[in-house]
Amino acid sequence: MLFNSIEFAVFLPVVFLLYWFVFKKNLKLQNIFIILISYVFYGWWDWRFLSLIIISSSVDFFIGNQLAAVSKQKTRKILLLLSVFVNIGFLGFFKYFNFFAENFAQAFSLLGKNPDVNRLNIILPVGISFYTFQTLSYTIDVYKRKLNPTKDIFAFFAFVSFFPQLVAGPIERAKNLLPQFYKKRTFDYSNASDGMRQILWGLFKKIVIADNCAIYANDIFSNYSDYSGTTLILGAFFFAMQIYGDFSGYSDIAIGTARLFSFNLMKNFAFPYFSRDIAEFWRRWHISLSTWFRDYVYIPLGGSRGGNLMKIRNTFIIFLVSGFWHGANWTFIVWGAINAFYFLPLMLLKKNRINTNNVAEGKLFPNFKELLQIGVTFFITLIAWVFFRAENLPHALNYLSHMFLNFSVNPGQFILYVKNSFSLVILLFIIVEWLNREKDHALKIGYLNPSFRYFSYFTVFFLIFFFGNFSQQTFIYFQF
Amino acid sequence: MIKKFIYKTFFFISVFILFHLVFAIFFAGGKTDAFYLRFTANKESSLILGSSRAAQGIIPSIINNKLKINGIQKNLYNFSFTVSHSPFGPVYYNAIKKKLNHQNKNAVFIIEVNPWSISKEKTNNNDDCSLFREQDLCLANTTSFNITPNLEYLVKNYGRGWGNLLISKYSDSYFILNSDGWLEVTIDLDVNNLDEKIKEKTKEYIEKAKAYNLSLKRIQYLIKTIEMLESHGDILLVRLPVSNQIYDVEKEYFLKFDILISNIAQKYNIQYLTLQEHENKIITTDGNHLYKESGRFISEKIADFILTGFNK
Repeated sequence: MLFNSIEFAVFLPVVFLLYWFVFKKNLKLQNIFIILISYVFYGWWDWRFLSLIIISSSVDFFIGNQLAAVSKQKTRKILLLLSVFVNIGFLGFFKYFNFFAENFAQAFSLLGKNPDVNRLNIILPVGISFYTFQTLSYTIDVYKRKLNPTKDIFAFFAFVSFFPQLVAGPIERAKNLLPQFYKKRTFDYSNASDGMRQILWGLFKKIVIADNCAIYANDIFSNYSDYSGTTLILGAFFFAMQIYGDFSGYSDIAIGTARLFSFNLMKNFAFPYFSRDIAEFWRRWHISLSTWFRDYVYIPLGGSRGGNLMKIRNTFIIFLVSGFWHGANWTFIVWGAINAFYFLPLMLLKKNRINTNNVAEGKLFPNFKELLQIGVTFFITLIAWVFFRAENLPHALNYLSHMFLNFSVNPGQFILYVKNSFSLVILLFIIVEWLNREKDHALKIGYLNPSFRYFSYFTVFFLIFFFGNFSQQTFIYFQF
Repeated sequence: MIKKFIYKTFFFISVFILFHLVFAIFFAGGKTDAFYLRFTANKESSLILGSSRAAQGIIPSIINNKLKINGIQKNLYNFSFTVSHSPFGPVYYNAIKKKLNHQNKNAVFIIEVNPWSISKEKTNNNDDCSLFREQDLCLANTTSFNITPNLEYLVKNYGRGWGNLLISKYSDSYFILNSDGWLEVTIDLDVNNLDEKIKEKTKEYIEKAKAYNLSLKRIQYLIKTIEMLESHGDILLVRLPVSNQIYDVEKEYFLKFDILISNIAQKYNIQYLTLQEHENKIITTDGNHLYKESGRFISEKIADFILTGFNK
């Protein structure tokens, strides 16, 4: 079920009313209800893949409890490996089998051999990368004795399948989300109201910004050879807006929806395009994934301790794995590698943590230096996004070579896109995001006087009403 | 507090829905898109069926008027879409069934045929209907064809913010879907550009022809459609004229098309009218679709045929 679908518009209020008025009195029943409606939410797409979630949940619930019961380190390690094997096994089979098979065949064909490699004709289960990482984090934390395993099977199954974040995150940690299933939830008016604002802003980002930018980005990326360098930069800009609007919009809707049920999910985006360097960008973009890799890959590898070679190795591993997590395609791996190259100088010069506060904190405008830093950081992310968006590596390289090596300026083409009234909507979007960059989300305006609040809501409604793309485009991150 | 929250949310959602309703009621119409109006209004007795060639090229009012002058009252309605939306198959068959006024037994049906509307992608080896290209489009996803405003159609297929219903109603558009179902397209015909356009379209059709072949299932559904309609009135199969370049592609790749349709016509004792002989008298917008002036000319020819030879 998509957040931007009619089905969800009916599903959410029905679930909300049942949750607060029918199941409110019994915590266990409320958790069972969450599991059931989460399975309905997921099964709406393809009920057959529910089995994977159920198997993952069962395996990790069982292993979590065994990890607590067993004291022998060797047995504990075997249990952990079993959980990793099952979870990564599913992920590897459904997401990466064909990639490895094809690359294996290609590598052998270079040696003059043509092995008969069969491709699997299977579809990728939506959200598998997200819930797999979420359930894995639980087992790893229990293994490391950072978390006590739960005995409450319903709470655990609800934690794995909680519908707002099941298919595209935020990838929650058991430490944050699981305890919320143990205690009685009470309705909090201000939290729920702000959740609704966040949902509204998320819908705006998805339906207005992302889905409209997608039209322009798709056109420019598909016909890049017909366009001038300036227009190709604009194409990359549209894609940058698309992916941000799409994914952060999804996260806003997920977090806002969870708040309606008195759950607090972790923040996933913190206005990343206002970052002053790439390290700050990665602290603000897809935070739940970045911190997952930091905690479960980077730090166990030694992190930034040790010599420069070790730091370089670890940085590359984490960015390459992160790229590969996004999809079984070399474009994602190169995208990860480029970001590693961007990040390395900062880390080696120990400048990766100089911009930890908000840009121009407490001020309306940034100074010239900050503006320049934001511009440069944004531009280099644009270049990396070209790889993320491209169909394959030659497509990305050709796009970039048209953009830079055959650079030409065609004001007519450029203006054709920019003069569109939608450009004003993008500008308004950037201004609103800038003004609210120190808050949890850009429509956190509960503290303002009612008339301004209502004016803001109706403005967003108006923009959705006139500029919204209601063709129910799927979310990009569903495929990851 | 939860009640206050529900009331407030309900208020906002109601306002939002109300705006959509008002805009759908007052502003959705012939400029909304190329199909919307055909999903509204009443069931129809006499239908023009087929692809976009028929949608743009057969004008019901011209035929109706000519028949009326000759004392025949038929209110033909153009229920053609495009070769993607309405090739013959289960989807179009069911749509016709829902749009048709089954009470009338004295109707006229003009069925436009061309090779594309009875063909499928070659990759669909088993002629599996569930893989047909129209399966996810508006004729398949809309259940109601006779309701005004058709909210279901708009929700599932409009794709844009409904505020645009107002804008499109009062702004210039190169197309308008008339109340008789005819899609009127008005574009500047740049003769210098036209040859280039036809060349491009021909190229596109050659590529398409390589990827498509005739579908037994679609042919069966064309026959099923004829069988459904024959108890309600007279049927005429029509092949509209296209540019010679595109006609040559169709001849080359679908060599036996005319024979096939003639055999079907013969079997069901209906007429098959091919109008390619008028190619030198018509103008197309892209080699494939008749320009509206030529649509008038061809519609008159069809009316003449109905008047003179329909019941032979």
